[in-house]
Amino acid sequence: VQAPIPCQLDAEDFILRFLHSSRVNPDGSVNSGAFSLRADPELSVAIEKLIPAESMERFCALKIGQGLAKVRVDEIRALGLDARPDKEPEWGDFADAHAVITGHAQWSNNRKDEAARALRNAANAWGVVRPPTK
Amino acid sequence: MPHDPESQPTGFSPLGIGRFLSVSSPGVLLDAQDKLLLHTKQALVSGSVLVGVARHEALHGFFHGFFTANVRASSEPMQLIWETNFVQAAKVYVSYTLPANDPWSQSATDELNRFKGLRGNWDAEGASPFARTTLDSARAVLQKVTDLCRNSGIQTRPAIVPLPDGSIRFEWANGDKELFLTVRKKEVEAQRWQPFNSVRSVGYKSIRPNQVDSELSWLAG
Repeated sequence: VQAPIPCQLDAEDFILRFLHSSRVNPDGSVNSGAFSLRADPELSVAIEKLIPAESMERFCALKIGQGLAKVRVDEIRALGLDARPDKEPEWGDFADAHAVITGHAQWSNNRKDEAARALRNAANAWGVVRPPTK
Repeated sequence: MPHDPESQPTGFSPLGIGRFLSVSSPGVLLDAQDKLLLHTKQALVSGSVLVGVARHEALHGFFHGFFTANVRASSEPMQLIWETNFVQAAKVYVSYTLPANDPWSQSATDELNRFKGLRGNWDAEGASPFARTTLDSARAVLQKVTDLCRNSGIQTRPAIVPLPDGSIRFEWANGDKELFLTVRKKEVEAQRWQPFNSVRSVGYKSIRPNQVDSELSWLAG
């Protein structure tokens, strides 16, 4: 039996980020809180290409009421961060679609916030994939 | 919101210029109203102030002046010109009234109050709750922001963003500039960006909540 080949993230792949309702402004745009790097050395995201369109509703049920934003991998890497697959058993059928943004553990708050703001801008340029429902 | 009057001495003369300091809260307030009670008899006040608009009325031997619009509080004395041969008092009594809060200010206050009730893991990703000192500091910053909104003519309003580490951010873009004020306990981290599409901030410093005026002035300027 051959072990599954880990997913490779290419520069043009998209990652998805769950959006708590506080991450979306009244005008519908995403704020920097969506990509805040202050709390953890890894930011939880999902690999869009591993979530079939027909499974999107089930995927969103992982965090009821939350929305989705997306950014491209090359936009993350341009900031000195990286995105890598990181299997998450709690995601059940979508465990392999889980990934993390890393590389900021030793950064200053200033640099973390610069990156969060840049990712916010990138997400707003692509448009909110799915707004939160509560 | 009326505030307690403050008595201030003035240098009266039969024909001359008096000065008084606004007692409105520090900052620049649009439509704040300073009420001046001058204890005189038969004072004829031709009335003007350095900034703002004066109107006056004589009532029961007292002069009441109301100074509104662009009252620059605690920064420079207002100047009052009067003519009278019957000045008997040597003090003015100043109080002030703030205009009603605008809808954004009220919703922002409500938002901060809502944060108070958030428990740990409120974002389903392990976010921290908000300390009382952080909320108090955020309210102080909000007051400064509200003052600026009233007076500067700035058209945008900041987003108030709860962050997973228990800090609260005022995230405010205006034209080609953006300002982050990130409040945590008794500190505010201030970051500036210009032009808007730049990645690197052009300024970063840690200040106290009562020191955000210069940051706000930069954004509005």
